[in-house]
Amino acid sequence: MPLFEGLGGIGLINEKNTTVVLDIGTAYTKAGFAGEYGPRIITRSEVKCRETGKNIPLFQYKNENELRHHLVDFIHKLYFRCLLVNPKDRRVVVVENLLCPTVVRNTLAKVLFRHYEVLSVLFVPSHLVALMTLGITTGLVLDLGHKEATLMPIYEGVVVFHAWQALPFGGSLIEKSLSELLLDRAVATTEDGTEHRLSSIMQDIPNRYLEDIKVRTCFVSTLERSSCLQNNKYDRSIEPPPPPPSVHYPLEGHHILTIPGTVRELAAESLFERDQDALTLATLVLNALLKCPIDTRHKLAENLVIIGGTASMKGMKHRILAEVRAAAASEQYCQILPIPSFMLHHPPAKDNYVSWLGGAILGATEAVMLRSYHRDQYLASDVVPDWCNLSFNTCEDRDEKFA
Amino acid sequence: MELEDSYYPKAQYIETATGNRVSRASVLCGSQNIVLSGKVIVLNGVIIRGDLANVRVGRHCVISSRAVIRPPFKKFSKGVAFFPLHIGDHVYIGEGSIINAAAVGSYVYIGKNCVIGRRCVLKDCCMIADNTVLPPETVVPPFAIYTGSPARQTGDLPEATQDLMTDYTRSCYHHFIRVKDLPPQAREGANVARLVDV
Amino acid sequence: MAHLFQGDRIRLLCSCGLLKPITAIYFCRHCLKLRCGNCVSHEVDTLFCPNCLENMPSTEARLKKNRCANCFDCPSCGHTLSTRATSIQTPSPEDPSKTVARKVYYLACTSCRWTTRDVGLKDQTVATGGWVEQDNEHYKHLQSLLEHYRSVAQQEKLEREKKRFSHRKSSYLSLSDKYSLPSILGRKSLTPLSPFAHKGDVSQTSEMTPLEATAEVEGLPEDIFTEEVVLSSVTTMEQRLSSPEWQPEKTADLYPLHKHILVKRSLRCRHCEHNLSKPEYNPSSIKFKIQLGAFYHVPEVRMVRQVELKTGVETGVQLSLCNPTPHDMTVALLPFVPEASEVSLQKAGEESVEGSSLNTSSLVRVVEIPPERTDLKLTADVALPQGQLILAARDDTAEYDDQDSSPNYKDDPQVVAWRRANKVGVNLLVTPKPDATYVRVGFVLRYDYTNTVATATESRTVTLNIPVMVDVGPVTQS
Repeated sequence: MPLFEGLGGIGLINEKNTTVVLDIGTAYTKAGFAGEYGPRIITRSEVKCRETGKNIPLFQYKNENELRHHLVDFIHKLYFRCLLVNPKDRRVVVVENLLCPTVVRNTLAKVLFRHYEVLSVLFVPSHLVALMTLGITTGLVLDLGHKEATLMPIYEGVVVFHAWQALPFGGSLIEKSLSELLLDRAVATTEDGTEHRLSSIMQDIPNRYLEDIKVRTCFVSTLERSSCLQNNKYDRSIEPPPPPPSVHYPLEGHHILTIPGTVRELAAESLFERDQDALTLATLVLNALLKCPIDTRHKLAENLVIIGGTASMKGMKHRILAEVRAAAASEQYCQILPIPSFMLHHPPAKDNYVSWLGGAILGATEAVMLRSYHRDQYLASDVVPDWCNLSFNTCEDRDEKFA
Repeated sequence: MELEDSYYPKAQYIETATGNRVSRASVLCGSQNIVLSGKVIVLNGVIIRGDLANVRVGRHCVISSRAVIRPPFKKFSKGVAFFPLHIGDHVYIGEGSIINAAAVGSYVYIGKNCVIGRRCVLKDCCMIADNTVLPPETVVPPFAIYTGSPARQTGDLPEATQDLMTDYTRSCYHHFIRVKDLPPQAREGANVARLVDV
Repeated sequence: MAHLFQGDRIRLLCSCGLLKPITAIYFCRHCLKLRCGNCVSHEVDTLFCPNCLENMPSTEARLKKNRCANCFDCPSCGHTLSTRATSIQTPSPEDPSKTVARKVYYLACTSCRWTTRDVGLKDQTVATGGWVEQDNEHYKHLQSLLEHYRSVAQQEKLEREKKRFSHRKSSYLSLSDKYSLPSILGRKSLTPLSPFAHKGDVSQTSEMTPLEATAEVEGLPEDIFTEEVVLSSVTTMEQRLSSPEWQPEKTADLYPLHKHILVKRSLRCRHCEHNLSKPEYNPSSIKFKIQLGAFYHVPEVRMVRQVELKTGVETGVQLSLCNPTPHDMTVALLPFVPEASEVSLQKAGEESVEGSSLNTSSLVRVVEIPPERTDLKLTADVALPQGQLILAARDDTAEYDDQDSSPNYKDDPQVVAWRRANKVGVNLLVTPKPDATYVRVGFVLRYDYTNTVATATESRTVTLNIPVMVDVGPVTQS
């Protein structure tokens, strides 16, 4: 329920200072309060550059100091424009990708603890908490983000970390191939009615237009059509399927861009074309399964979860499932990975905030108090425990201290 | 940067007892309905539509050239009615802006080529950036910077805005100097009797 | 607009090490130091709706998700929606054969002309409110999930407490074990959050039913390969994300959005916990209960006019100094040495800790922000006027005096170029360095500040040094 939800949703344990849940992504940031069923805002991860005053991506930085300044400004905006609460002495749950760079993680902790003096921070792995929204504990979670696709199998609540997979296949790759296709094939009509190739008008298309074209006109084609188009490339005698209708798109107020139907259909194909290592989204799933213990594979395959903003593209999930099934039946895998069925979950949220929702559910429980990293601990040591830091994962005596 | 002096020839301006300096090349319709509270500068080409409804302009305002100030109207089932327009003290209105607001507070900065839609309310200490279109019935809260079309809040003004605007409009007035005739170098320039500030 | 926009040509070095224009800097009267947005703690003071300008208590804001109950934004362009009234003919309740005119209301955008009628919302019979809220379709499921995980966490807490009492080695419950790496698994510390720790007693957590996976997913709509795309019926990303929980894909599914409220912020010095800025409660008020902006306490430096600079040529640059305080001020300009100033900054920091000049509570533990590093490279040599000068106090009545009644100061014409009320002009001689393309000079502004804090025990005037950086302008090649 959107308005007037009542205290029930917020929970009694920290009614006054509701925990803040942040999921800072490369393209979009989700922010809201624990115990709520949707983020308060989803905003572009952009900050005003302190020198030039222009909007630049949050994670475009030259050094750690610059990143810290970006984060300070960005979090200030989140708290005082969107969430409208005092950051001081309030708990924070940060939904993070396990493969997130250490410098980002440490700088975020520094900003939250030192600049905003938050009471505690709980870093939760995005793939794991995504399962919490489904109420299941085993699943193969594929996160299709802006920059990359990352995959983590989770078995009985344990991340099978050894089987992680990642590929730079994300929204930005679609935008890149869309840009190439448009510059190659699209035609723009100017005000006087003459037609020009788009490449003769502009060298590269601004990102905001690419995103808008991607979101509003593009879709992920079916496997059959795609293979048909592929075959046509090599063998011209095979008739390609009729292309979808083209779209007239107003560009910068004085051009009408005609986006050919083929571009709409082909933009997302780059995610399914094999790269130099013969990897695609489908092999990502299968390779992860291969790395998992043999007795977990069936269960994982029957619990696929696809999340992330790019997953909400029309036809994306359908295509991935079809690709995975096709790849599993291929020669390469059918012997070593005999899996009868792949099944997909439908999280109770829009794809782009599933992980956030998981964090919000976790943040509303007492786990936040028990498992958070406290400000005093941070100020004493100035380090954040991390899975990749051996001093936190092997030394028994450290455990004693922290327990 | 301090403001530079700009000059205006005595013959082209009317200076009232309260210190208003009104260009003879401005159009003040229905002047009996227009109140300029003192030390107001009205530059050439300005149109103030006092014939539609009362217009009140506070002290130390600057209305730059080609600005149009026009009281807002509201449609009723029986016809159209115009409402008075109040502008506070220390308000700067940029060149070519069109003001249809219901009320403009004090210490307000309106940039160049803005359109302030019908029955907008601009509270004290706000700023409308250049080339902004404020759709009708917008309310601009204090210390907000509005930009774009349709306008949105894009920033905040510093806490000292009140004093900055006071200082700015005052120095506009003090640096707007009357001369008998324009000095030769100023006459050559196209912008005769314009505030050389931006 | 001269000094509102070009204010950052002259910047002060804040005690945290960042350069900021004077309007973005605060002066803590208790620490006697400059503070800026980076090194103060911000607090939410009051919440208000930017459209109806009414205050909203924080409890109410929490319940209403920071949105105004009465004002709506256009889901299409983001502008505020206005209520429009029309009358319709409806059958009269007494006599069904007759019709009576009834007033109905709908919302319309004055910017993009979107109306609630466009999306098939029924007109309302009351002028304000009455719009049905959208529901989250997964409400039931999410509620049961939340209850389930709460009880799991409760269980975990109880177990932990038990363990604590029995002095057993408790598992490392810090962050890393959630990743459940094999090494940790080996130590049998299963992630406590895993609901499987409680598989035995399902009774407590039975309300939750996990969602089932399906073999098929919704594919592309049949007509996507044949149907024309009407761009105006597909929402943009911005329109979708303005209602995160629903994210409508078609413009026909747009729904009026409650207006997001705004905050007034108050600022507090991190070191002495005194307020530096506190706005008044009333949303449309521009007054402050407390306002310690540097603009009101530090002499304001401005450039008088833009000058042309040439490499290696000594050029006169005129600055104006303005005294904002109601006390006379002695001012001197001292040379600025970047390295030395850093040292002196640190030194000053230490001094204030020891001397605790006006620190009220030394008990307050300060969370230090990481040190800032600013490029303080000067690109020109500067000759500063030697000696001191006195800045007259600010006098608000001076405007109404016709003749200049300011007392005569015995000014050294070498130092003071002109004097007007509380303003003084000084000349600097700037020589751009050979390889510089943009001239930036610096100096230290030394002035006597008359402290007005009532609790001040020692001498009421203190001498303060403030590093000032001036971006003089670009160098034209000769």
